Amino acid sequence: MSWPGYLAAMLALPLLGAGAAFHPSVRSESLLARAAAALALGTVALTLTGLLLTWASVRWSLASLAAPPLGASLLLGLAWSRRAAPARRHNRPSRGIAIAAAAIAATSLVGLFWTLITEGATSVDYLFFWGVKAARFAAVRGIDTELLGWKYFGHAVPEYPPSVPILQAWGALAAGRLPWRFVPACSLLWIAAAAPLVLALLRRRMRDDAATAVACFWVAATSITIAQSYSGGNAEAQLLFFETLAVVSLLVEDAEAGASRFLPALMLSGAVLTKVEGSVAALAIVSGAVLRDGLERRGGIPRRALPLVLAPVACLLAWFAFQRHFGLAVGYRSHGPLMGLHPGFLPTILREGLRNLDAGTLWLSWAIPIAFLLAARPDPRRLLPALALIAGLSGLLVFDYMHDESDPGQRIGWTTPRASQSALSACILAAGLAWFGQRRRPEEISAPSASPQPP
Amino acid sequence: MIPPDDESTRSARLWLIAAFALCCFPIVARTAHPLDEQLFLPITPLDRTDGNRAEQWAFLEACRAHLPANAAFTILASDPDTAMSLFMMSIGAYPSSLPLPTTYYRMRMPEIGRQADFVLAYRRLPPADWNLRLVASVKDGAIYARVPAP
Repeated sequence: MSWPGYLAAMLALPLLGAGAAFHPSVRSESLLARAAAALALGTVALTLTGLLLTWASVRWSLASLAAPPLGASLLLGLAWSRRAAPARRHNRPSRGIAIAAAAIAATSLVGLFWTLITEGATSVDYLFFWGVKAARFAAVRGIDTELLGWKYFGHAVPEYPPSVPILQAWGALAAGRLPWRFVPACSLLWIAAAAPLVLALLRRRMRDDAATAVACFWVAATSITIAQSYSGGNAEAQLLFFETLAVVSLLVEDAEAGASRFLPALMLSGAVLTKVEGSVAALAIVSGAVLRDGLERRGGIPRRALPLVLAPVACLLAWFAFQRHFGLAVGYRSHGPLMGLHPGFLPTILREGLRNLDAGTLWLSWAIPIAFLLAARPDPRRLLPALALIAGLSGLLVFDYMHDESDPGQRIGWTTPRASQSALSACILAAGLAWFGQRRRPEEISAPSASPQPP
Repeated sequence: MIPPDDESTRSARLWLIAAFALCCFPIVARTAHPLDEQLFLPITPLDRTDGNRAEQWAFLEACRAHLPANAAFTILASDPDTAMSLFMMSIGAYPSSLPLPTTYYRMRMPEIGRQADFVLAYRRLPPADWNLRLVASVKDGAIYARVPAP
C-alpha cells in the first residue's frame, strides 16, 4: 500500500514553503490561507530544486529534495516575520451564509473526491506522459534527461514544464512507487488549498458574506469542471491553483505604489513551471495588470511590474537553461509551423469551442457570472488582469486549433474543457468583484502593526 | 463588528443559490447510473473513463510479475493504435525497464522490437520466426522471453 506515503508527501509541500506564510502580505490571514501561500512556495521551490540537483548530478532523495526548500524557506520566513504586516479581521459571515456556503463547498469537494478516487475523472494523459515521467524520474532519482531526449519519447511532450512530474516523483519517492490509482485523487488538494486564500483575498474588496458566497461558487464550479473534463492526475488542477491566485491577488491589490506583489509573482512563477499555457496566461495577466495600472494612473508602474515579470521569466529560463545544458530541444513547439494557420476551421473552432464550454453544468458556470458581470456594469479597467487572462487563453486556443491539418473538432472536445478552466475561474472572480466590490470597506486595511505578529 | 449590509447579504444568497444549482448537476448525473455501477470498485486508473485502455493497463499489470527489472521488452498488438497506447503506458508502468517499440504511431520498426529480451503480446501471437519461449499466459495475452541463439 503506497498511497499513505504519497499523500503525506503532498501534504508536506506547504512545509517546504512555510516561509511564505510569514510574508507580510499573507501573515494576517487565516491559517489555511497562509498554508495555500506556503504550498505555492513549496511547489516552486521543490521544482527548482529538482532541476538543480539533476544539473549538479546529485541523486534525488526525500532529504536532498527537501533540504534546499526548507532552508530557503526558513531564512525567508525569519526575514519576513520581522517586517510589519497589515492587521486584518477574521472572516465573520452571517451564520446562515456560513452554514450554507460550508455545506455547498463540502458537497462539491466530496463529490470531486468521490469522482477522482473512483477513477471517474482520470486523464489519459496522466498514463501517457505526466505519470510516466514521474515514475521514471523517481526510478532514476532525477530528471531522466536521456528519456526526455529519446526519439521514441516525443509523444510525451518532453518539453513541457517539469513541475507536475517532479511533484509526483517526490510523492513516489515517499511512497516507494507511484500509486497510480491514488494520484488522480490528489488533484482535489489544489482546489481545496486555493479556496481559503481566494476567500481571504476577496474579503479585501467585499464584505464577508459576499466573499464567502463568491468563493463558494468558485469551489462548486471548479470542482465540477475538474471532474467533468477528466483532469485527474494531470496538470490542470495545479495550473488552476496558480493562475486563479495570481489573478485574484492582482484584482484586489491596493493601488498604492508600495503594495507588495510577492503573492502574484509567486503564483505566476508556479504557473509557468506547471504548463505551457501557464506562460501564455502569465503574459496575459501581467499585461492586464500593467494596462490597468496605466489606465488608472497608478504610480511606479515599471518598478511594480518588475517582480511580476522577473520571477516567472527567471523560472522559465531555468527550465530552458536546463534543456539546453542536457542537449534537449529548447523552448516549446507549436502544432506545426507557427504561422501555418488554417482560417477555414474558424467556424468549427468557434462552434465546437462554445459547445465544449458547458463545464459540466450546461454552461451555467459561465452564464451566471457573466450575467452578474453584465448587470454590474463595472469599470472594466479594474478587472483587466482577469479579462486579459480570459482573452489571452481564448486567443491561444483559437490560434492553436487553427494549426490543425484536419478538422480540429475532436481535439477541441478533448482539450477545451480543460484548457478553459482558468478562464472560467477568472470570469467568476471578475464577476464577484464587479458585483460586490463597488463599496470598499474602509476598515479592511488598517495601519501596519507596530510589531510583528506571532505566526 | 461590521453591521451586515442587507443588499450585499441578499446578493450573497443569490450567489449561494447559484452555487447550489451547480452542485445539482453532478448529483443528478451520478444518480442516473445504476447503484451497482456506482459501487463498482475500480481496478485500473481508467476503468471509468476509457474501457479499452483500462484493459490494456490491466494487461500490463498482469505482466508485471513476469518481467524482470531492467529488462528490455517490446509490446505487440493487433493494430498500431493499441500497440502505441500500450507502449506509451508501459514506459511508466515498468519504470526500471527498457521499452523498445515495434511500432511507433503507425511506423513499423520490427528491427528495434526484435532486440528486446521479452515480448508482451496483447491479444495476438508473436511472429513465429522470433524464436521465443512462453513465460506466462495472462488475461488478454502472454509474455515471452527470447531464446538465446545457440
